[in-house]
Amino acid sequence: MTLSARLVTLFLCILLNESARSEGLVVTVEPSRIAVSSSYNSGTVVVFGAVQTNTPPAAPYDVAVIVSGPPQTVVMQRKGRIGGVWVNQDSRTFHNVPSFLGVNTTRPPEAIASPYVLRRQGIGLKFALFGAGVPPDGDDPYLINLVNIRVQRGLFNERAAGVTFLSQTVFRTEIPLPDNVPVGDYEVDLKLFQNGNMVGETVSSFNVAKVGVEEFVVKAAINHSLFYGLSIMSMGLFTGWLASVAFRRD
Amino acid sequence: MQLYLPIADLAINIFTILAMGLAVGFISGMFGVGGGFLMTPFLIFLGISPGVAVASVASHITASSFSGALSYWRRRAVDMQMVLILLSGGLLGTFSGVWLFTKLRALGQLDLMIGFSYLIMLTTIGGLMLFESVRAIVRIRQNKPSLLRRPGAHTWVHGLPFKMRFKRSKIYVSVIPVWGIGYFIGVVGAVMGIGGGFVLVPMLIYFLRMPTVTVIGSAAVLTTSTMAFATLMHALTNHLVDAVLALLLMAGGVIGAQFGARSSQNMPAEKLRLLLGLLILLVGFRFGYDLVTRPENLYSIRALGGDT
Repeated sequence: MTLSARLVTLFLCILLNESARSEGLVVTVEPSRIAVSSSYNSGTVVVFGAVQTNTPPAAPYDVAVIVSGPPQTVVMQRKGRIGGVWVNQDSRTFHNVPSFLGVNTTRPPEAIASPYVLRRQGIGLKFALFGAGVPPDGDDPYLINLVNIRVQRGLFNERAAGVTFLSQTVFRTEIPLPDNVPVGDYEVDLKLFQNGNMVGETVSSFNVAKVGVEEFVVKAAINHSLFYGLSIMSMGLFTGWLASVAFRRD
Repeated sequence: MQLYLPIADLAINIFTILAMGLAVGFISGMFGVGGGFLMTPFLIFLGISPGVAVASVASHITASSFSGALSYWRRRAVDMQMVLILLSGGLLGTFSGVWLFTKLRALGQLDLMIGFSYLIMLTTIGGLMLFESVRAIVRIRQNKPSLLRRPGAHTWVHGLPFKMRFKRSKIYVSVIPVWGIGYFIGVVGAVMGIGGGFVLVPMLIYFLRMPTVTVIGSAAVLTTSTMAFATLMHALTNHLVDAVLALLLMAGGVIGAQFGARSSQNMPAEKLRLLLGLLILLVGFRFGYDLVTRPENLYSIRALGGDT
């Protein structure tokens, strides 16, 4: 290897290292476990984070927090009219679609970074779905409707001013969980931006689980379905018998 | 007060469900039907997936029809021989129905099939009931004697082989139509989430000329058996029976049914049939309307491996 080649390599290393300069991020997710019990109707996850830096920031930071629920395969169906009746006609299958998706940012995503960066980093509801094999233009009607329906059900949400900086380096955000929250492991992905560049990233997680009676019922229904079915059947017969005795007129 | 339903995966107002159970129970007691044809659509309307609704209502009908069956049993108004043959068809029908239900769910056409079955079934039965009761009311107004069933009247059904004598009902018919009616009710009940009482009773009267003394009691016993079996089958194959939802529906349903039964005692039978016919027809039209009007959103989501 010639000297000039070595110099070029060294220079490239410095350059790459500079562009990939990473700011440390510490983060806590509260609570680490959401319990879905019989009284559950909505929940909130609070994410606290701090940027670790020795010098005061040269420019204000921006943060994007992406919370994604357990991935699932989703079939989008489109109705069409056949002989005057509306029938499910076409369908498109999406894999690895998060069952829940919350994207919180300090400012509207367009103000944080270029569209290219947003798309690459999956910031925004549509961009966060790229793992689902969505074409890059992002204006596929199946995808748009998937996002819209999930937004209506509270399963997808996007808040452009959802992350607030408490000081120059400490931030906080809340992610609302709906009543129909899917159970499983959730990933919390935090991305730190400065001057339109991503300067740091960290990943955390929390878990949503059915507890108490709810957990018992679901486990029984799936793992002991014969016993479960027989119990409900007997419960029906018992209720019927009870009513006929309690209200007996003859 | 919100209550989280473990299998339906959503929180629902406990009083809404109880009130619905009471209201449907009232109607079921008033007309002597299970009320599944009202309950299932109501639940779907509340946002519960059709799968969970159909499966959970099956257990609710088990309760309401069993309480009816017991009181008819005490009055010795049940033709057990008839019930057993109907049941042999009914259980096989339920089995096929649950299988069909699972297949349709996988194909993504369950909602369409449920909608279509409701439309055809409800408009036909509702229309016939309305027509028949209006004719009866007109005859009463004109002071003509009501049309009594002529004992000797035979239909093509009576020409079929394998005849059998049903002692309690005092009829002599082939077992083929009996078995067939049982099978049909089993399929329909499992797919549509209805007990089928409002279909079964007219069929038994029209095709088999079964006397009114035994027809309702026997229908109640049959409905109890097929719906209990459907509950078990749905629990085994689709895991969609929601225990919490089922319990709420049962509680509201059986209480409402008692009040319904009392309030109907002073009402003439043909007026009751007229009201029931109208109600059934209305629900049927509602399904028809949904099928032909452009849906608000042409797109719908179905998550595989989760609930619909």
